[in-house]
Amino acid sequence: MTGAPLLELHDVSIEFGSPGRGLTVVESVSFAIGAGETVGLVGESGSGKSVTSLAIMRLIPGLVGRVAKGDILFEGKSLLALSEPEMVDVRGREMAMIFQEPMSSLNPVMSIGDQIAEALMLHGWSDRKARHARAVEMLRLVGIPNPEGRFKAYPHEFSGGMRQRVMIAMAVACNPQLLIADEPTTALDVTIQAQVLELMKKVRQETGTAILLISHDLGVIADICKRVVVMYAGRMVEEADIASILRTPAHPYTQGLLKSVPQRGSQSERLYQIAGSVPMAGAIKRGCPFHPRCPMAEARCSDVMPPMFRFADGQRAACWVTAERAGALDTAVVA
Amino acid sequence: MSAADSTTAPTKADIVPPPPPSALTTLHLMVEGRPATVAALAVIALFVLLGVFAPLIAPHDPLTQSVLNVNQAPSAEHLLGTDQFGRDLLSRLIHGSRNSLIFGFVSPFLAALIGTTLGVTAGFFGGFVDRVISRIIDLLLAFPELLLAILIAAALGGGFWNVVAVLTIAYTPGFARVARASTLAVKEEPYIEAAIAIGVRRPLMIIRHVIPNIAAPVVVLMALWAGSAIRLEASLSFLGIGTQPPNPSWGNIIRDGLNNLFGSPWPVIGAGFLITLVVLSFNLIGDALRDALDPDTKT
Repeated sequence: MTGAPLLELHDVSIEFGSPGRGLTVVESVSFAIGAGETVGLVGESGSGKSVTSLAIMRLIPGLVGRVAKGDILFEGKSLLALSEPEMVDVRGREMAMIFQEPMSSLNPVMSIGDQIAEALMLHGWSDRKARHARAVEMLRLVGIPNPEGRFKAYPHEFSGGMRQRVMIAMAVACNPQLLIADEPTTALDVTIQAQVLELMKKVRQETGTAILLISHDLGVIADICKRVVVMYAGRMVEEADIASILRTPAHPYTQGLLKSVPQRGSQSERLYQIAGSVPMAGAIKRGCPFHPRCPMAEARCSDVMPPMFRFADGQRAACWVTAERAGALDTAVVA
Repeated sequence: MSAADSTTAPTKADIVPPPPPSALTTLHLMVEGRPATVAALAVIALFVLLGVFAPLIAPHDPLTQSVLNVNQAPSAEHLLGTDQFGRDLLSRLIHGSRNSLIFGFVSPFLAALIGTTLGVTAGFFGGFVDRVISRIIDLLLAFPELLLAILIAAALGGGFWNVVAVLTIAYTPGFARVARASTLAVKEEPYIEAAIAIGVRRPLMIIRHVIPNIAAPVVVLMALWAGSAIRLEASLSFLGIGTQPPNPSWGNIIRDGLNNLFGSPWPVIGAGFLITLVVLSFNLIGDALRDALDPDTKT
């Protein structure tokens, strides 16, 4: 990471329900993304990764939930302090988002070209011809065959993978500094998933945008991300570069996650599974949220939530046991 | 696998509804294999022509009275006979179609405009705005259309624009309801969230993303209620608070004819037949339009 990070989350907690008495679904999450960097956010369903991304875009309706604690900085400025009209300017221009459902994230009654052009129009492209040219250029970038001819085509004329390409074209049309991709390949077939990942790499190379990739699939993350943040039950449990995560996972949850990835040629008949199931958000109030399922849990685990400890190579993880084994107990990061 | 490979293989993502078909395609879908719809369209087209060119087509002036020719049976001179003032019935019916069709088209259109605006506003913004608009609509819906129309007509009096206003007010709540419900559904669609994520502001969101997606049910309702509006106008004119005599309207032709039903049944039969025919035609067109625009509800 060079210079000031593009996006910083400082000790962010997100609360749903009525203010002060609601359910805390995300607690004390801190990480940063540098300009042009690709960071993965992994976790099971319900771990708070999508909510975190929606909070960055400020897309959580105020009545439903809010950032209760902490701050989100974009280029050093707090996003939470912006007024809604200022935030509207940021969305699409500074940071854009692509969603999990390519099938329904495009307006069925607008042609795809018009939808890309709309994103441009909203952010200062006043010349119609220039918008058209740029939209066609974007369609070409994402590999839509015959982009000129397909400009006027409607979403239902495309397959799911093609629609996700259009979504990517729309998201990067205004050259955002940050692209948030919330499970962009989950709804797609495996072959098409690979194509979309290739495309995201290509887009990153050509536009230099930073990417926050959210996925439950470590394989997808490993494919394009340099650094990974692992979340569990609304808490950040580990952060490291992808090589360290794959080689020496520091948190027992990450270890379990890696063990449960199917391996070709593996001897065991049954796939490893982490015992128990993901707790409901906010269900575990004391100690480490993973302790009821953790094979290494000790008495203190159910008592005090471990802070993030620094391991070797910039790896950070929130676990009493592994930190002690690695001799990292005195490196607690004070958030 | 390279990024340039085309991904035309169908996936489960292909369940997206297509956008509503273009006007020409819609027409094709409406008439394909449905002779009744073709007939209905022909009937409406015929009456539109009759209404537009009424002065040229009508054999006599619809207002000229003749004491010598009252209550005549059909003859070569008066194809459908004359009414109690000796006016040519055919000419009155032709001129009457003008009034009826204008009400049939104008009132549902205005009602759709106002009702959709109210409904979309209520559905999109929700909260207090929704509660105020919805309660007003509930209030209006509590009265049967005809009763509401009579109330307003009694307060405003007769006359062309008053009748238009009456019919518009009577039909606005229905459109508002439909628009609100559709908006509530569309508002939750992922493409609305995606549009917010690229920085679309609210007014543009409503105009470009919400309204085009709720247009189909509103258009269908408009066609279905065109017939209903014609019937309601006839009812009002029959009661003497719609189109005022001596101007002809199908409703007041029936009322005039009722006084002498057994001596000369032609006015009642003629106007009654035309009302039935036109209302039926509009209903058939409305049904066909619904099936064409929204294949899910096809029965």
